[in-house]
Amino acid sequence: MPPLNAPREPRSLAETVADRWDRFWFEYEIAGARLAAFRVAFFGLVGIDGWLKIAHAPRYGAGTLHVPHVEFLADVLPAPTRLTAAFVFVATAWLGLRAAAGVRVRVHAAIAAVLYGTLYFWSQLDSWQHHYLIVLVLAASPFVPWERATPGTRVRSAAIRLVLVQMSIVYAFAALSKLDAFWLSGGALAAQLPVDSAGGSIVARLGGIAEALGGSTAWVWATLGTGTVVAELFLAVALHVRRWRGAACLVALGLHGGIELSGYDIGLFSAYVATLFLLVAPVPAFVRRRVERTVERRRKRRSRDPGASPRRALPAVAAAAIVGATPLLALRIPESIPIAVGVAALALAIDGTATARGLGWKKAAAAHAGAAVALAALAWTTPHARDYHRYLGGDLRRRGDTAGAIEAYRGAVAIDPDYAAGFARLGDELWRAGDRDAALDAYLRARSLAPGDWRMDRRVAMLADLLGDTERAVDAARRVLARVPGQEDAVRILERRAGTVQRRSMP
Amino acid sequence: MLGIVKSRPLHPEQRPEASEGPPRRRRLASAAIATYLAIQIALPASYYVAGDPRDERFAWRMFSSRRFTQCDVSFETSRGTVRVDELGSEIHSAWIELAERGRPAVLRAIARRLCEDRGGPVVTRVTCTFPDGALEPARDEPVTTCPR
Repeated sequence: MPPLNAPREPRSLAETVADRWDRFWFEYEIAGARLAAFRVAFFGLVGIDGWLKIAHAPRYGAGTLHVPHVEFLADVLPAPTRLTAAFVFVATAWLGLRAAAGVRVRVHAAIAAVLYGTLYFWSQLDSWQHHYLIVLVLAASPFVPWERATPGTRVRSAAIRLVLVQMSIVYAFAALSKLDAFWLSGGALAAQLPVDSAGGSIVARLGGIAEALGGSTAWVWATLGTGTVVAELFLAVALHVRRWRGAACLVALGLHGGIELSGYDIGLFSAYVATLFLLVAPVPAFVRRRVERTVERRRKRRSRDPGASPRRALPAVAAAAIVGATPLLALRIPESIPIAVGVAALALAIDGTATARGLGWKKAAAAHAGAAVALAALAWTTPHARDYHRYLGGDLRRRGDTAGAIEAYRGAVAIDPDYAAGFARLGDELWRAGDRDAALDAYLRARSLAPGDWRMDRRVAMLADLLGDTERAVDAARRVLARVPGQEDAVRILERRAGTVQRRSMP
Repeated sequence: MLGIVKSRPLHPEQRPEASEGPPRRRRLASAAIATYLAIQIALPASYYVAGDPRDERFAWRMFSSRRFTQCDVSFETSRGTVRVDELGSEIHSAWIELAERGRPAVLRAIARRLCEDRGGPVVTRVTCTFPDGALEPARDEPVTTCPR
């Protein structure tokens, strides 16, 4: 073999390009511990995000309007239903949490990509562009050699390189979308940033400083607008230049931190970007050593899961799939049972197939149960199950399904007994259904939970007035007028009822 | 090359595949990557070449000026004109939000629905206002004719 510094034969441009292409894609290396950390962070986030989206499940199948992202799907598939969406969200969350735990990551990533991607393209109800980015990252994940992510190793992965190139494409086109005078002058940013947001107040302070220095607030907006475009263009390139990656992380922190300060509801977009930057962020040596020790400990624990005889193990795998899914019965949404059955079937299919191939099943079963428990815990500690019922009730209310709306709002207040707005809406629907006594009870409960809200008093006043409960109506009307002088409904009630109260109180 | 390529280049004869030719698997991977990149660049680029400016999907137009454009949408049917925000009792509010951003496919679907429910043809009128208050030039929407 010739020595490294031996003179080379001249090569054609095509050979040089092909060589550079091969090296760019197929010799990209990433530290095993970093890849393991990314796996935990990214798929853990997929797990959490899946549950957070559950509140939007009721919009699917509401009415019969259906517009997919890809038009031919309207001819091939029926419109997705609430159950379909709820199952996809929970199943994707479950798959993400199992992948974060390091269990059969490629399989879980592939299934998550199929489920999540299908639902995304199936309906334009989900048009968030960062969800599209997540679909692409999930689609690349089955090609990443996660099983080789061990401390002290370097893993070659064209798929990880592809994810970084995709991020560059996103940043480049995001910058391109802002190359207009309105954005560069800061006008778009000023129009989009609420004054009462944290970002808006920061800009107001900077504007004050600029004016004190002889400048203007407009100059601050223009700097931010132009700076956003420059930052995105820089990030598109810097992700692939090793010595610029530290600066890229700082710029990304500023850019996405600013987006968070704007107060816009962008879901977990910034969190996802943070996990993707784990792939390139410079890491202090002590952090790297700590992560490597943690990854190595977990890897050793996982490796103590020898395969068993498939014939003996399969019944245990089936039992574990069923028992492990039982926490999903506590998701506090109407679709809990079919979702738990579906996830149990998924666990049985994935783990049963692996067991039939002689692979271990105990760690997978533990991850299955752990993921189900985590999702149940999220259902009981976050407001999203309540919001599921709230959004369902709102849609049914607007479309005139009073009975359905009552049931949905009852579900919301059962989950959150301190939900004043829920009791108010429940009262509205009960009144519409003709059950005025129950409606008044709901209004009184709402008022007790939100005593400073005049709209609750207004509801009590109007319904009590209709029921002939003069004292209650007058009292509530006076409370309204104490907060909103001249409020029409309260004035009308007092004009009609106050004389009656006065006459009754006279000896 | 700015440190983009990670590994030290080897002499062509020292790389195992040099004498055997690139493995088939690597060629397939290269083809898949090239195809993916072509799609992921062509798709967002098409917005600037031939796309409907109101349809920003897959163009990575995040927080663009267009995103905060508000559109007044109404539909002229055989039973009169109805504004899109008056259809809350018939379609989900999420679709109304997309229609108010001028999403073409959603407007067509709503027009088809109104055609079926109220009789056609249906004329869709869209007037969009940019965040700075400027009005987008009015565009002629295709007339939706109900299928027989």
